[in-house]
Amino acid sequence: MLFNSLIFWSFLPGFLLLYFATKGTARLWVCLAGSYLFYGWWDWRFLGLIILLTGFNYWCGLKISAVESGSLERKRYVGLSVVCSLVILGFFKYFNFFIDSFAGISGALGFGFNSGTMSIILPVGISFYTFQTMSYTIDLYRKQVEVERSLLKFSVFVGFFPQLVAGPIVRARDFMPQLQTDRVVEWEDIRRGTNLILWGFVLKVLMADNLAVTVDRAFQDPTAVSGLYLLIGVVFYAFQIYGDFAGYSLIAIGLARIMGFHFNVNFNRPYLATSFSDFWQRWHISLSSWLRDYLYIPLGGNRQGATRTKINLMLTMLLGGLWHGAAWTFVAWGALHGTYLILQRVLADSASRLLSVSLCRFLGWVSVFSGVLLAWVFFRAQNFGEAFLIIEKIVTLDGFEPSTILRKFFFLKGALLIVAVFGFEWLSTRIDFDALARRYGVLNYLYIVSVLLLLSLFGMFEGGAFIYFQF
Amino acid sequence: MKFSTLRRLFASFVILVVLLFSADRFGSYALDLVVKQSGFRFSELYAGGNSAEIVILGNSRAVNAFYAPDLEKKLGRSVFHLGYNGMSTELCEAIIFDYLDHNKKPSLIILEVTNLGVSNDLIKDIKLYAGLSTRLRSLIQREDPQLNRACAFTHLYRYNSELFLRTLFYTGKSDQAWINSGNIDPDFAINFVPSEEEQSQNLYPITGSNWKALQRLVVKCAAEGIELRLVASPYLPAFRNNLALYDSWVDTFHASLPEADLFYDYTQSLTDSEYFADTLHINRKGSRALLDAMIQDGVFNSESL
Repeated sequence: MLFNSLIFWSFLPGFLLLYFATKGTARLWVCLAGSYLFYGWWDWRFLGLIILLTGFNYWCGLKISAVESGSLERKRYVGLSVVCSLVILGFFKYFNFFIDSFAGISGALGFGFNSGTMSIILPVGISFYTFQTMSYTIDLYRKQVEVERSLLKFSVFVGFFPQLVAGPIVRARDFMPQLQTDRVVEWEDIRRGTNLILWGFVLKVLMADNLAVTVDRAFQDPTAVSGLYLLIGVVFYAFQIYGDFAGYSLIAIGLARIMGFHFNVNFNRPYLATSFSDFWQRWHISLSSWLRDYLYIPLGGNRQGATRTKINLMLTMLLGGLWHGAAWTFVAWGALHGTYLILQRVLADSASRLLSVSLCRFLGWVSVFSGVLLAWVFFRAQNFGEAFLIIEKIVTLDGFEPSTILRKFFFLKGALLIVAVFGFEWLSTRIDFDALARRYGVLNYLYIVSVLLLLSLFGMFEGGAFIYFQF
Repeated sequence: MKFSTLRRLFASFVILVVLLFSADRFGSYALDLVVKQSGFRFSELYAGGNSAEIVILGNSRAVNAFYAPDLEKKLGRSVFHLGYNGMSTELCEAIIFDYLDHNKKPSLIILEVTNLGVSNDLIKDIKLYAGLSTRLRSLIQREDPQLNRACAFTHLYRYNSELFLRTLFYTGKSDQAWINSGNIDPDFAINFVPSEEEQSQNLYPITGSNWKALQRLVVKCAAEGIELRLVASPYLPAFRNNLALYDSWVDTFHASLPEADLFYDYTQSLTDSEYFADTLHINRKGSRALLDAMIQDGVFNSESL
């Protein structure tokens, strides 16, 4: 089910009714059944995969907690959990990618290798729930979380529908304690949750899906459009993917909040970042913090000298790129971000010595935004040829005339929506709208009515899937 | 959930429903006034009082092929262009029948007829005018009941349309003076080979509902004493030459429509790339050349004009 589909909004009231009508174990069963129904609606056969991963990691968790810390057996069980999760993820997501890449390399070296690719369907959300289960067993091994002895609670932790298919990746240490007691839902949870959901829909249905019209046209055949239109397409894509993914996260966090669960924010106005490390503290926070805690820091982080730090940064970003999809363009996207982070480490000190703080911040913002745009070209393009063609046409100012802008009404609408949404987000860094709405209830009504009317007037209700479902 | 929270939730829900309903109905009423004031073609249609002698219909190929100010200048007759991007023959029928209901009967209707294979997707946009037309409402009801229900539930949703933005743009001014002044890249024009999808997207297959609509249109025009001309405007030669099924399409057309002499085929009349904006559409220069050819062929010779 998609959050922006009629079927989801038919499912949700019935689910919430049952959720609030029950308590204790019954409520957890409602949660689990609802979550499996939500996921199974897409393809019930892949429920088996979630159940398998849940059961296996639950068993590993019990085993890890049963043996003494520091013992080899404890290491074996956590290793088994991580390896099995990665093997499953690797098979469904990367099997064809590695086979094709191997065939390409062996072909280039003169060895014939006939790669018969298998038709493997990528289960929705597999990257998210495998990372979630891995974090549980690793945290358990590190004694940062208590073992969960209830299979039902552990199953809800893995399969909880609001964040099951596209995150945020919730850590066991944050979520598990909340499953131990019945959540008491206060008025504030409903108010805040509703507001988050509505803003999520603004980002997705109002902004991202409208921008998609221009973006799809630009990337559909870059040879047929001008450099100016491609530049617009790239800029719009930056905001489309933000709206799409941040929108999903907000809806997920809002739904969880209505049910009484508190999840951390996943996006914090990333395009206002003034350095690349700042960007990664604002963009897909649950993934970047996961990569930091379970990859970058175990690799040595910044504790083993400058060169090793740079290698660790690059490795983390390369794997972060590969996490998004089985294609070299995603690896290139990660490599670019890794390079940015390394360059920032090299240049930041000199820049801060030579330039004033405000100029430094401004130049930082400009370079972060431009660098992120460049990286999005590789993220969105089908292949390297297409990415380089887009960059070439933009850099050489090919056809930079306003008359080359196609579907001008969608361009104008998109541009206005970006200004409006980001104007509001920028304002919200100066004015605490939530505190105002909490204090003056009428403002909250005004917000809800305005958002719903805007959605009705300008939203795209074609049921466009969320971009991050493919990851 | 505490009882007090539940009570507050219920009260808030009721307040929101009342507020939303009022805002939706009031807002749509206000926007309706804006739409009616616009100089956009369909707003003018439903405002009524138009007395054009020649009316033009069709999809984007008609929009690009016929430039109303040029026609008026050359022919000395008043012209009203009702064509719009993506308009199927069935939608043309609904629009022209509505036009006849609200405006003075024209003497001649020109229908760019290569839209016989076009779907009715434009209803998603033209729903803007559904409140003013029972024909459009019934077409939407038949084609997309969910869309119809959405429009009934929230009236503001009707204004969720590219056409609404166009009505705003054309507030206080006419939209009739628009023509494509772009020019296709000559090298691209020579080397262009249409894909199968490109070959099929405009002509084939002729949908049954479009064909029936055309037949009803022919009968209606005859009954009203309006002369009807069915015109196929030029394609880029590289595109037209690769339309393998085009001849059989014309044969079907002639065989099925008794009034085949209504049909004028200009698909191969322009050969130079300077006349084209892209593979499917001619530009300002092309439209002038087409107009000259049509005048020469007597397309506009009419007993009643």
